[in-house]
Amino acid sequence: MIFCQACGTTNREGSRFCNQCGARLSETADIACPRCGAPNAPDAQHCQKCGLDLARGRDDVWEGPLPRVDVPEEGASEAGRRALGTPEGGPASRARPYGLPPWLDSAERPEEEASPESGAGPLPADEEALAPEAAEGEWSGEAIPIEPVVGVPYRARERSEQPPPPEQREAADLFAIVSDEDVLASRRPSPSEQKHEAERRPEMWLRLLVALVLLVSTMVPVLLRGGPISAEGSIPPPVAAAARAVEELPPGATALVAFEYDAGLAGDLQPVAEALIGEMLGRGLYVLAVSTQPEGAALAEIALDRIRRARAEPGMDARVVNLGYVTGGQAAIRALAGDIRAAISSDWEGRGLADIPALSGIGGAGDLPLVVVLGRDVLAVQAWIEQVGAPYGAPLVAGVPALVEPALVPYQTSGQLEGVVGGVAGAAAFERLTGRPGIGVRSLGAVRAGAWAAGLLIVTVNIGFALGRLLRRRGR
Amino acid sequence: MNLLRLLWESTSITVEGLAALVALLVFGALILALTLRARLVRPFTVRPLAAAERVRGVLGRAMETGEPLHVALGIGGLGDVSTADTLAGLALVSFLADRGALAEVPVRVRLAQPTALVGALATLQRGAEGAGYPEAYDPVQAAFVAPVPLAYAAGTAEALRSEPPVANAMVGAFGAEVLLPAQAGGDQPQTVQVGGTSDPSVLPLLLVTTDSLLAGEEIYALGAALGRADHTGSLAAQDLARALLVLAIVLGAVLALVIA
Amino acid sequence: MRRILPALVALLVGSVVLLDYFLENPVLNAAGRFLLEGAIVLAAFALLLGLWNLLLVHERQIRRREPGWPASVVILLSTGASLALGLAGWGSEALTWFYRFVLFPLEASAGALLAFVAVSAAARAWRLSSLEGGVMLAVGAIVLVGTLAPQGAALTALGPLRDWIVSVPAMAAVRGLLLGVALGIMATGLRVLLWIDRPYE
Repeated sequence: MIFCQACGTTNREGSRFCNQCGARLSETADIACPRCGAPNAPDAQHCQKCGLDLARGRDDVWEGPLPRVDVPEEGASEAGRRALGTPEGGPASRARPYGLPPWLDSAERPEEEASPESGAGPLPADEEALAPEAAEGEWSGEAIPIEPVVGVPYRARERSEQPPPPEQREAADLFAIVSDEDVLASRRPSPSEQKHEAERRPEMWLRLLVALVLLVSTMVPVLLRGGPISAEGSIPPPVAAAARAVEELPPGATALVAFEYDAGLAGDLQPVAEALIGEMLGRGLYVLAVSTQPEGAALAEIALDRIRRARAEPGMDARVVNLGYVTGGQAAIRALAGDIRAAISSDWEGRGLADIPALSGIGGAGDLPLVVVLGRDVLAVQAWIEQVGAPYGAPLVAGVPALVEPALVPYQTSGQLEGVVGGVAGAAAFERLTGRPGIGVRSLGAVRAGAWAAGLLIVTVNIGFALGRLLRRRGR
Repeated sequence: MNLLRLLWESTSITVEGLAALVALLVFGALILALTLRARLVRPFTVRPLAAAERVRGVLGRAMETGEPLHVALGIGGLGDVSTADTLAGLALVSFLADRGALAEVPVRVRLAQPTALVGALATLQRGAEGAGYPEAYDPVQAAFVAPVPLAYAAGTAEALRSEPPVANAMVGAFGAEVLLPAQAGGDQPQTVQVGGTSDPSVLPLLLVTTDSLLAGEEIYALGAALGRADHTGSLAAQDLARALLVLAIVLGAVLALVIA
Repeated sequence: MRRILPALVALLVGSVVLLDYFLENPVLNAAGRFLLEGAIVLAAFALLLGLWNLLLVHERQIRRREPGWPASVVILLSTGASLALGLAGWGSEALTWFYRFVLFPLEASAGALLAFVAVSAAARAWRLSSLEGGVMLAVGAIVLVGTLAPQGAALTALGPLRDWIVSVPAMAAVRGLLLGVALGIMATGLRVLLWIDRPYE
């Protein structure tokens, strides 16, 4: 701690300018008070805290006038300030002297007013009213020194014991000088600074290790184009059910695909979208894409673009249509279920709906023979079950991230969903089943390798932790 | 009269629809009756929720130190499929806004849907007015971060790092992106983290990153556990309905076995 | 009146939309559709409020030089840029380009970060310190190995065990959760409809 010689504010070790008044701080060491240990400026006459005469160093009763102590108001809560009736942001929010309450003052401090060497200067105008009255009564005994900090609100926030690293300190000092408002608040040590560096180190190493392992394990299969990890494996029943639902549709029928996910999950869902839509087009179906999420329409366009280019057949534009984004969340799904034309007036490219052959003879999404929901989470799929599946009986297939798949299986076994395709693994299984290997099969190697590496890492790290504990216990 | 008859005659309903409507009406009546009992006689006792106790404890600490409390309301809104989760989060905001205004504890709410923002602002304002300090309400206490889940998560995580709160409660609708704010909060040594969502696939993620978890339906009990007497009635109705459902499922299973 | 009117509106609108969901009636369905369209318009207005809030929050952040304020500058600038892109009628072409080459790669990398966070959190949390932690670790390992074991390997024997875990205990837990959640959602909705909860006040 360094005390400012101009205003007495406590400043953090190493500060070059005072937090409060901006005065340059002396770099010489502080003098500790022999009685209370409080640090004082090198040329201080009396201790800031207990009033001991530092020059004489005698531990005797202080006879002079009570020292005035400037206490920064930082510890005062807003509620306390309110109770005191002082306005926020006014002069009160800077350091200000606190005296004794008037009743105590008039009873026990008869000599202070008389003393010409009073430590305090003239009171500011707004505190004139709070100034103690002249002494009354018959007090003539020896003055007992009164702890001058009566009435100072409890200061709960302890400053950090651990000084922050020098570069942070310098930045903070510079910042404090540049923006001289509310400096005290900005100089609070952030809790992350309080945490011991030593505690953080194993955590940091663990994170580094995880990052490295995941990176290597997913990059190697990508670079080796699948490498040693095969895409073979059993087909999960929900995926087989989804494939059956597509297979059962007659050529020329129209299916709706709802893109209810965002770009962050595209890595897991784009393969599902491509696998399902590719199979639908291969079976001669018409596909309508729609979204009630802001990003969904653009993601649909990207996926459809890839599919159109991959198939490179004439008339693809008419067979796959992106109807774009519909605002209104669940209300929009409800509107779409009843009547697509009531919810949408044109497609993503601005074509009128009358010009879209896939839409001819179709009223609402609820009348369609198949609705595919590519949902980011359970709720996104649930919204379509509630608004389209349950009231209209439209068959639903869900495509979701691998993480979400287990939570949807109950819907599938109860018949509310025809099938569920979960993530890259689901897409790969779907592609193998339908005989159209695509991006799902190609990325499965990386996904599997990553999952293996993650699983092994978790098990190893935990065995390591357990062994470490065992050894330490043995050692004790 | 004729009009009514016309209306009646032109109305139709499926068997499943009728069954669901009847079940809903019965459930509604149950809630109404039990809520009236909770209000007029005495509130039902609520099993203490660990997360609610945690929030109470942290609130005490925040009152002493004046450090902020943070609520991440998730990616849900009002009026969509996640309404119930968002309302559960708002019950927590309401509790904190009320107590926080009294002791001048800053309460920050971060959300991803404009409709949830409307609800959060109204809740904060009502809390401040209810506590008798209408001036404690500040319209930037609730911040609309971004409508896209990952952007919301990243923005919230950043805010948790730059202004670490004493408590970070993540109650509402979330997807996997909740990991970002959960980790950011977990990195702050003094931040107590409470999580709660109804999505079963997100619960494991919250389990490994928070100090206290409200699993599934527990989030709907949060209001009652935080002292909302009028919520205890519907909670009791929920319990009763669940007991009946479980009974029906067990009976159905036994019957199916016997017939087979 | 100030308290009763919103409550009455909420009750009326809620009942009409609810009945519209169950009943088939031309008048009711038309009323329901009208209210839904109103809800969509209201949601759009809420979006404007969201934008206003965004400006307010970040303007203050910058003005007070709060920690992280440079990020606020970036946010305001990019909000303005994408608004201009959408409003100035440069068309879906420019917006698609922006989505495809700026926004989506950014989001996808944040999404990839989730895997990393999940693994490091799991590595820390699944300590073998308690019975629960041990069970979690063992079940996790079985499911992982059962799912990922290559065909023909000795480890495939774990496949049926994994299937049983996923389809019996895990499914039972998920079902129980979903059941409770469904009841909770119903109760929450009915509470609003029955005037017990008033989020609209």
